[in-house]
Amino acid sequence: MPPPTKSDLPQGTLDLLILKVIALGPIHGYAIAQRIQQISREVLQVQQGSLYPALHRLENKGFLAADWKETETGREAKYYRLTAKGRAHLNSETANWKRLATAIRLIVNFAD
Amino acid sequence: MNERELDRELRFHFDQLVADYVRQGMTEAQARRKARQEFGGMDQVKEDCRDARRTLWLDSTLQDIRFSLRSMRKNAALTLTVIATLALLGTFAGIALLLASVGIYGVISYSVSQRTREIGIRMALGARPGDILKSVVGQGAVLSMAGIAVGIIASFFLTRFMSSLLFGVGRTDPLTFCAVAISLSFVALAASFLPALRGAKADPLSALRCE
Repeated sequence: MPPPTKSDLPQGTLDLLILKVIALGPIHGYAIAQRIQQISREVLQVQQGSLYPALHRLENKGFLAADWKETETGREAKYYRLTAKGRAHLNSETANWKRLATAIRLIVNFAD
Repeated sequence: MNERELDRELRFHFDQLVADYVRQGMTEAQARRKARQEFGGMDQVKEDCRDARRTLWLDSTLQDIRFSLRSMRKNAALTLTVIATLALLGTFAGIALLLASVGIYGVISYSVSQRTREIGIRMALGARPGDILKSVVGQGAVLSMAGIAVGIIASFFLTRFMSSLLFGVGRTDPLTFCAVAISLSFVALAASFLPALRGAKADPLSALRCE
């Protein structure tokens, strides 16, 4: 199977994606990467090297909280969940992104 | 932040990755190699995670302490030398401060005993204890200010001989100079305050009769 073409994330959108995925329910880092890849139909791939620093930064800012819980396989993993502050941030960032995306679409499609 | 927790979190991710590749049909060794490749430098990821948290002041301070302890452990001989030098310097500095305060105390005491008659006359003429206190402590303050001024000028020239003992602080660090000057003036004031109090409390009559 040929690997599908992968795209780099636009700057500053990783935080939004992470918050959005975590908003679906408590989840550990590995599953966050998987989920982003699945939902984007393999277009977006998040490297560990950017995922974990982002998670720790968001936790440090108080947008995320974390607990150690057992996974289905019986191992302990660090599960992240959204705090109230994180949910508010996600909402404003989502609105922001939608406005931006609409504006860009308007410009890109202008001649058509 | 807990270093072991970070370690455990990344290790978990790594193992999941390996398990995933094995499920896709790789051998254990192949899967490990591929996962390691994909993970890049584990240490780099950790460092970035630590950086991401470094905005918290307390965390960064703890990090610094941990780092310095780690480097101290690596260099036991150097650490011992540094500690011994610091202890020696600290002891010398403490003794110097003690001698200075005893010296000031002695000089002011002597001057008060010399001025007993003068103090008696002043009080007989209506000086209040506060005035006497002011005059004597003022004398001590002038002396110690002169001493501090000379000391600061001298240390500007002398610190170059001990600059090899300084870590992370300049030879003429303004903050250090200010802190030392202020603490020395406090010690000097305290040392001249005791004899001044004694002089101010003296009975004018017996002070006049003395000699």
